[in-house]
Amino acid sequence: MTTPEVRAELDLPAGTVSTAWLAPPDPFATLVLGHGAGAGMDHPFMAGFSRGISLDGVATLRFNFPYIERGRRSPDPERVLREAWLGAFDAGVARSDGKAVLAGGKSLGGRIASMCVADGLPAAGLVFLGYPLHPPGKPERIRDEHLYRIEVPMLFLHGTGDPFATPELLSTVIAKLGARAEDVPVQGGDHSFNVRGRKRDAREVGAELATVVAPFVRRVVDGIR
Amino acid sequence: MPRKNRRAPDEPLGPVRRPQSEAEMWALVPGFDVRRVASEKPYRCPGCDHMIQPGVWHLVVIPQDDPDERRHWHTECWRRELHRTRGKPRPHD
Repeated sequence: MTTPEVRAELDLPAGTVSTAWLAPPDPFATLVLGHGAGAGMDHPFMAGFSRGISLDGVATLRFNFPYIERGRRSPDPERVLREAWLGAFDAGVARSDGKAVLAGGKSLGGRIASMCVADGLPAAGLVFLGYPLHPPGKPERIRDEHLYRIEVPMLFLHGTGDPFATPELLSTVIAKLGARAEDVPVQGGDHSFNVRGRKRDAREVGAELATVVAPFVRRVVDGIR
Repeated sequence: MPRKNRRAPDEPLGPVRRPQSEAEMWALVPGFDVRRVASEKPYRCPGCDHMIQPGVWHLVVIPQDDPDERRHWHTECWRRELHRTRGKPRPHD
């Protein structure tokens, strides 16, 4: 009844990494997804998101960064992360059957995607599942300068209690981005979109967020800002 | 050289569940109770001014300070309303 994931290896300059392709019967777009810093592509949040958005007609390609693949804890240098993103995006394009390809991800995965897009990666849009705007408690170390070079639509999902993006600072950034950026706050959510008093496993949280991302992907594909 | 993180997750990836009466978490805003409902009656959505047909899952939005002002919204219309009002919807006339 449910479509199985297609697991494949992807060769990168830094080594081979795993990918997971999950597509409904006739997807209208593909979303390539990078994972957050602390867990790989098979984290239940990522798997649940892919499953959820597949029910709304969007195919996903998830991938591991090389450090996760090797069982390391601390992320690779930015250059390696970017190379991984470029390789994964190409793999997504190869499977996209000519449909639009967007990029996105959880935290680190989304941030690296945005840096690649700012430097020319031809994604049709960007989806941030918690953008790490600044390290917790250090709003002065804001990571926003490259965002203003991006011209495609961006969707910012964020918990209002996320220490990586204080709502005031994120609002300012989103206001500066203007019509390119859409803001979807999750009231009381933390960096993992957990809301106190609303018990969910990570898989369900991911699937629930997918219900607001799918219409965004549709608007990007239809050219509606 | 087997790598333990290379295996597919053991858990089945079936449909996910959430209590049917709970709205999607992105649909919740301060000052309003938002519930997911499907009813036997049709309602007119204040977002698009079209009918919500009986049996269709949608959202009922209740201002906490004025519970009589409850309104039924298409889920997508409520999302647009939140976007349009930057997360601070005003009760409709």
